Amino acid sequence: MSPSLTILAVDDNLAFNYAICHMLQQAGYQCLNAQTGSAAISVAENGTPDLVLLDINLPDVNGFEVCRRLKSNPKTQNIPVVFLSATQTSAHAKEMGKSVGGEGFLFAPVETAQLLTVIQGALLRARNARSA
Amino acid sequence: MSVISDVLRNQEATILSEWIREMAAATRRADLMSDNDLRLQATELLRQITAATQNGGTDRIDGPEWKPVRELLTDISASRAAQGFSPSETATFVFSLKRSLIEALRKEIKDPAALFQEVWSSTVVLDKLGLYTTDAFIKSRDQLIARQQEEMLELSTPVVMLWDGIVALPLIGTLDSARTQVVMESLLQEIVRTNSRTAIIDITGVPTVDTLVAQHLLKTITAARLMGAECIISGIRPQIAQTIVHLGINLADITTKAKLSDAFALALQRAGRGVVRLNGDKRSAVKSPVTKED
Repeated sequence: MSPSLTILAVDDNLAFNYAICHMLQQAGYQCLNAQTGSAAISVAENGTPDLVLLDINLPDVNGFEVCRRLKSNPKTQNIPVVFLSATQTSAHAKEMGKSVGGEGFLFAPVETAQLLTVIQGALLRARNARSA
Repeated sequence: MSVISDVLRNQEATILSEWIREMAAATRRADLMSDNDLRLQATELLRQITAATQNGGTDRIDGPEWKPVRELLTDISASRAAQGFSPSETATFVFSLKRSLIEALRKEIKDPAALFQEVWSSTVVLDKLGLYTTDAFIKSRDQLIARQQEEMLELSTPVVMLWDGIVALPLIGTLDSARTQVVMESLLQEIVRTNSRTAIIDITGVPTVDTLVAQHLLKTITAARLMGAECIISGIRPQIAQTIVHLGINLADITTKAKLSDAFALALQRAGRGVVRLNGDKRSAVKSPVTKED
C-alpha cells in the first residue's frame, strides 16, 4: 500500500464520511470526501483520486449514475469505483454496480479489514490494467 | 407627498387612540401583553408608517422607504410568536388600523372620488403590511421550531459511558437521515473521547424498524467499526425481530441481545470482566448471564 494514494469517500452523511476518512488515514491513505453525487464527480475530475468509495443513496444523483458518469468521462474513467452501501437488496444492487462499471461492492456493516482488502484489490487491479 | 401621509401626520393622536380602542374591542390579549406595551408598539408602527408614506408613497412596501416598517413588523411578529399570539391575532394588529385611518381620511377629504382613491390606497397598503406580518410570524415560528427540533435531536441522542471502554446509545423514536447524522456524530465523538472498544446501541425505544431505519442502523454500526469499536444491538423486541426477518435485513454479522443488561454483560465479558455478588457467599456468585454471543 502506497501512502501517497488518495481515496475519495462519497456519502451524504458527514459523520460517516468522517469515520471512513479516519480509518483510511489510519491505514496510510489520503482522503477526499464529497456529500453529493455532483460534488463527487467534480472532486473526481479535479482531485484525480486513485479510488472512489461510493454510497448509492445520495441526495441528488444516485451512486450508480455517478459511477456511470465517471466511467464515461475520459478524465475519470480509469479511477476504480467501489460501492459501499447499507442497502439490503444485495443481489440487485451488486448487479447494478457491476453494470455501470463498479470494481467492488460492499454492504454495511463492513469490517475494517474487509474494506481495506477490497480497496487494495481494486487499486492493484487498476494499476495492473494501466501497466498492461 | 401623499394625502394619506398628511392625514397620518395631522391626525396621528386621534388615529392612534381610535386604533387602540378598536384593538381592545376586537383582539386585545391582556393576558399576553400589557396596555403600555401595546400602546408603544402601535405608536412606533404609526410613526414609521407616516414616515414611509411621506418618503415613498403607498404603491409598494418593498422599497427602502418602507424598510423601517418591515423591520419593525418583523420584530413585532417574532416577539408575538414567542409570547403565544396566533398569526391571525398578530395580523389583526395591523388590519385593525384600517377603520381609524379610513375615518380620518373621511374627515379630511370631501370629494367622494378622491376619498375613494385614498381609502383604496390605504386599504391596499395595510393589506400588504398585514400579509407581511403573517409571513414574518410564520418565518419566525419556523425558526423557533427548527431550533427546538435541533435541541430535541441533541437531547434525544445521549451517548453514555457505561464502563471504561464501553459506551451505550439508547435510541428513542424513529431514525431518519438527519437524526442518524446526529446519532452517528455523538456516538463517534464519544468513542474517540473515551477510547471505547464496545458500543451498545439499544433500540428498545425505537417503535418500528423498516428498511430505511435498518440502513441507518447498519451505517452507524459500520462507522463505529471504522473508528475501532464493535457494536452490540440490544432491545430488539419480538415484533421488531419479525419485521427484520420479513424485510430480509441481514443482521448476521452483528451481535444482538434481547436486553440492554445482556449486552452490557457481554461487553464486560469481552473486556475480560464480569459481575459478581459481594456478600462473601461463593454459592451466590453471579456468573455473567451471557454464555455465548447470539
